[in-house]
Amino acid sequence: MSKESLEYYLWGFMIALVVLGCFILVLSILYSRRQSRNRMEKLLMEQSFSQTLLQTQLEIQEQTLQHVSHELHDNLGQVASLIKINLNTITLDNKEKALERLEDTRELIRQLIADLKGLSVSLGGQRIAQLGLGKALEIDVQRLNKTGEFKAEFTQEGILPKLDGDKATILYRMAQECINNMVKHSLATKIRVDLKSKENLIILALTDNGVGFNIEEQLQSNGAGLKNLHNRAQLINASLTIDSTPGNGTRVNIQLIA
Amino acid sequence: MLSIITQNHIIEFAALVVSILYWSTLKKSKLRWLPFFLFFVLLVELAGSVLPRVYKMENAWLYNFSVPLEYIFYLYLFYLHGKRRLKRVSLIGITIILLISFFSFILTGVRDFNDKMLLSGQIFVIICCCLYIYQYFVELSDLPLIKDYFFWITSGLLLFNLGNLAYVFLLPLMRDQGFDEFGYTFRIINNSFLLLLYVSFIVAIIVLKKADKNVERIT
Repeated sequence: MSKESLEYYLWGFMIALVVLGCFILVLSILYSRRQSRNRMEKLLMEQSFSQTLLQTQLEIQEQTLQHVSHELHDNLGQVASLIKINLNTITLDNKEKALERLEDTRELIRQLIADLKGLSVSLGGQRIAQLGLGKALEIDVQRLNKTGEFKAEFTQEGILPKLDGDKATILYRMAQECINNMVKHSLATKIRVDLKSKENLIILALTDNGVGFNIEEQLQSNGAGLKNLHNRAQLINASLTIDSTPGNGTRVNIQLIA
Repeated sequence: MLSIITQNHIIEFAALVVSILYWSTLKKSKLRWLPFFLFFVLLVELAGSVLPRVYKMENAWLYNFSVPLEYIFYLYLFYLHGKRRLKRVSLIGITIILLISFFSFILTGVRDFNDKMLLSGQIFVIICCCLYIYQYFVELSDLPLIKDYFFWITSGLLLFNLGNLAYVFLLPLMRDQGFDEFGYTFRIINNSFLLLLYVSFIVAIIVLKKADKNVERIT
């Protein structure tokens, strides 16, 4: 090898090595920046998830308290009053009538106890975890029927896969929000809640026969309802579709992989 | 006098001054021996410059003693900053450098510069640099890489040793061909990367000081 070619060889070798070193360092810095950005995004996502979860739990609590207040006033209070009236009006002159009244009162007390048990379940903090999503939704549908203003129906198909407690709470709250909107704004007479599961997939469909609405207009308006639904669906990685046109009712479909 | 002082001495002196100025931070860190090391390097480089120019003496024997110590110090830094695998590699490196130095002193004496010891030191430092970067990503550290003071030392050492590796690797061939007999090419290469190395030391010390300040502010 001549001196000249040796010199070229030396400089070429050296430059190649240094370029390789620079490449490693620059790549490391870029990768590290990307890694810390991803970590930050994940942290923000986790924070947002916990915030939404907390808000969801507060909303469920508020709704439960409202329900308890209604139950105490409209149902339990009335049953207790009936019991009191029954007991006050029992006369021992007519033994047969008295026994009939007592039997009535016993039935009212049994109903009162059952309602109280139902209330205590709905007051529990871990309601979804205790009852399961299906049962909690069924109770809500029964409550709708009790009002007499709606014909509400609940169906469940398949065995629900085990769903993370936080995800179940958010999904339940999404369903509650849809039902609330149907009750308040849809002027519907029929409401259906269908819960299906196929292997790991959970499909929750809520349908009404109400007046429907224009989705685009609703999204552009300042109302937070639909945006809230979308945000919550995003947080639990659920897909949310809403089909509605004015005059043709509304169908909300939520699909989630457990 | 001016011909004795070179660009290398100036940058080494600058690094030493910065390390003394930030001694309060360095003494609490894993870099507490750095100012002593920089002082040692500056003394060696000055002696290496004075010996041939003033006393017309060979200086290869001086570098035969100082270079292994320098590489042992670098590997010791990796030992301090590394986890299991890096610690093991740095300890193996230190042992091999010591063995090569010992046997070359016995077999070839100290008058001729021992390039085998330099080559092994460079290879081990390059391996440790790569392992340190790998370790950073495996450990999923919360600290961004550019805020990690040791990353700057690693960068300086990686580029310095990669830059010099080609020369040291081709040294036997160059000796046979009589290429760069007076070491001009070596000086160009070495001095450029030495500048980079000591600048990286200075940056590392400043980054460490900044991190220390932030900790003080938080506590």
